[in-house]
Amino acid sequence: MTGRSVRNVLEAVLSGDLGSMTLLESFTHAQLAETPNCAHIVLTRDTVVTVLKRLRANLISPAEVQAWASFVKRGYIVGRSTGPVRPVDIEYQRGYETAISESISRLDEIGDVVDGVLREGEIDDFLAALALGE
Amino acid sequence: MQQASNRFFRDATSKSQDFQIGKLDDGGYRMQFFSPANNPGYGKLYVQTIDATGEIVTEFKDAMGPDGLIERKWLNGGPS
Repeated sequence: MTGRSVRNVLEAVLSGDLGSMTLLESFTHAQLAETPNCAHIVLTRDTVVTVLKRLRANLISPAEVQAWASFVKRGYIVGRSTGPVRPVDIEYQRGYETAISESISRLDEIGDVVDGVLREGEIDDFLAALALGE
Repeated sequence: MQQASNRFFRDATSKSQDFQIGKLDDGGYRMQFFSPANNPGYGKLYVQTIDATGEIVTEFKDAMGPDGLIERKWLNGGPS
């Protein structure tokens, strides 16, 4: 474990630093859920745009993006708990909620047996929607 | 309950349908919706149950095809 705080790692993940997902996964869910000021963690349009552009440029893998999208969508890391979990409360930037939601939901589907691969041009469509907002 | 349902349903897409919320005997709730896939006849059923305090007890998504369930992916809870 490094000296980075849970809050610091959460903020890195929410800023699109997918490399911090591994560190995030080293925390227990209880540690994540108890992070101070979690209610004010916001996923911004700019972060989603950055992740989409890096995915389009093959700078990050589809699997990395899926794991990231799953976390920011649900507020917990899937498959780690058999008991109840209280998700980290991650808000979507106001004015872009729908565009962010559509993008994140689709990225979370990567690897699924149905619609598990992004079609050509789909990332461009999301970027266009994120440029416009609601 | 309101916060949990807002979080769950906010990620339904514009294509999603069949939104449902049902109260469970233990005071919790079961929420679900269906999102059609790009390929007609296919789609995904998203299901989440929460307890009376709003914590997520189980969550899974079912990949559905013309002949029914293709695959269930557990996200939280479920068979150990």
